[in-house]
Amino acid sequence: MPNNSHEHPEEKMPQSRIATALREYGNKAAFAPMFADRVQRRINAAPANNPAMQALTPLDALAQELVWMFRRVAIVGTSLVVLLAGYNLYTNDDVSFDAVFGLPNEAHSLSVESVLMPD
Amino acid sequence: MSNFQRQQLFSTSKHLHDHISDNDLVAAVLRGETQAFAGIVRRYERPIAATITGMLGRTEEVEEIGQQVFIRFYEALPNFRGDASVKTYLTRIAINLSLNELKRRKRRFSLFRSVDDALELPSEADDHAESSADRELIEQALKRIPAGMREVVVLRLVNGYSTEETATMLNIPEGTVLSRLSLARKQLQTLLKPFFGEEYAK
Repeated sequence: MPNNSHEHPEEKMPQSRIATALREYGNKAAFAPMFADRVQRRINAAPANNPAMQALTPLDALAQELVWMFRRVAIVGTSLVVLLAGYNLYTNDDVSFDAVFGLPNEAHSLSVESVLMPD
Repeated sequence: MSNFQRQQLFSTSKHLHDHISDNDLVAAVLRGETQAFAGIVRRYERPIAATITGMLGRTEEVEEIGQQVFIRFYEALPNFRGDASVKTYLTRIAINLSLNELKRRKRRFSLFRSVDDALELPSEADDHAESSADRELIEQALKRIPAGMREVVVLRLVNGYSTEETATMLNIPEGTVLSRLSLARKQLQTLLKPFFGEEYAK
């Protein structure tokens, strides 16, 4: 139980009904039976939160950090693609699927042969 | 000791956990023996229940916040360095979650009416169930004192922690604990005097 050995002399409270009632209030406070089991069930239901899993080797921790970092980059990247695609569609009315995602368009690409040997 | 033996040791028997130190239980959980965590929960569920109940009253949120306290501690175990005791960590989490809940209640009820206005002390204590009536009065009175004083009263007088322990748990100087406690006692006496009588409310 709590340690009362360091009680300050200035704060000694008379054994009044209030003090007794406060202490009794604390003594009567309790969770419903089987509380520990309910906590354990919730912990087991989310194994990703297992601290043993979190206490990984530095290499595993680095891998997890990279995954987390690229997840953020992926969100930013996807947002940029959507914005650029929207901008291209807005300015050019009709934009090919390849162009939207910055892929080379074969119809407009120049080959060595076409430059050296024009029709 | 084999893993099987450890599993047996940290199985559902709470009596076995009684003889194991907090640090050993934490180490066992970090090794992956999640059942060992039940030992920590059983050891501290009573004081944590008293802390949350003292802060919030006997409401339906107490169970959920109690579970959250232990789950948050469980999730934070890899960062547990042992510079403060398990009891201190758990109590800090319990106080913080309780304060969050009080803020949430304040936001929710401020649109309609003050939380304090919704509370009324019983008009008279029932002589046949004096103890139960006292607890009801105490709960109503605790709800009427500011949260900063309430946390001190809950830890120091409801849970019975020392001034030093209370100061450590709340991360405030001992002098602040004493001054808040003095103010809180005066407010409690004022609130409870009509029910407990002048000579008993001191």
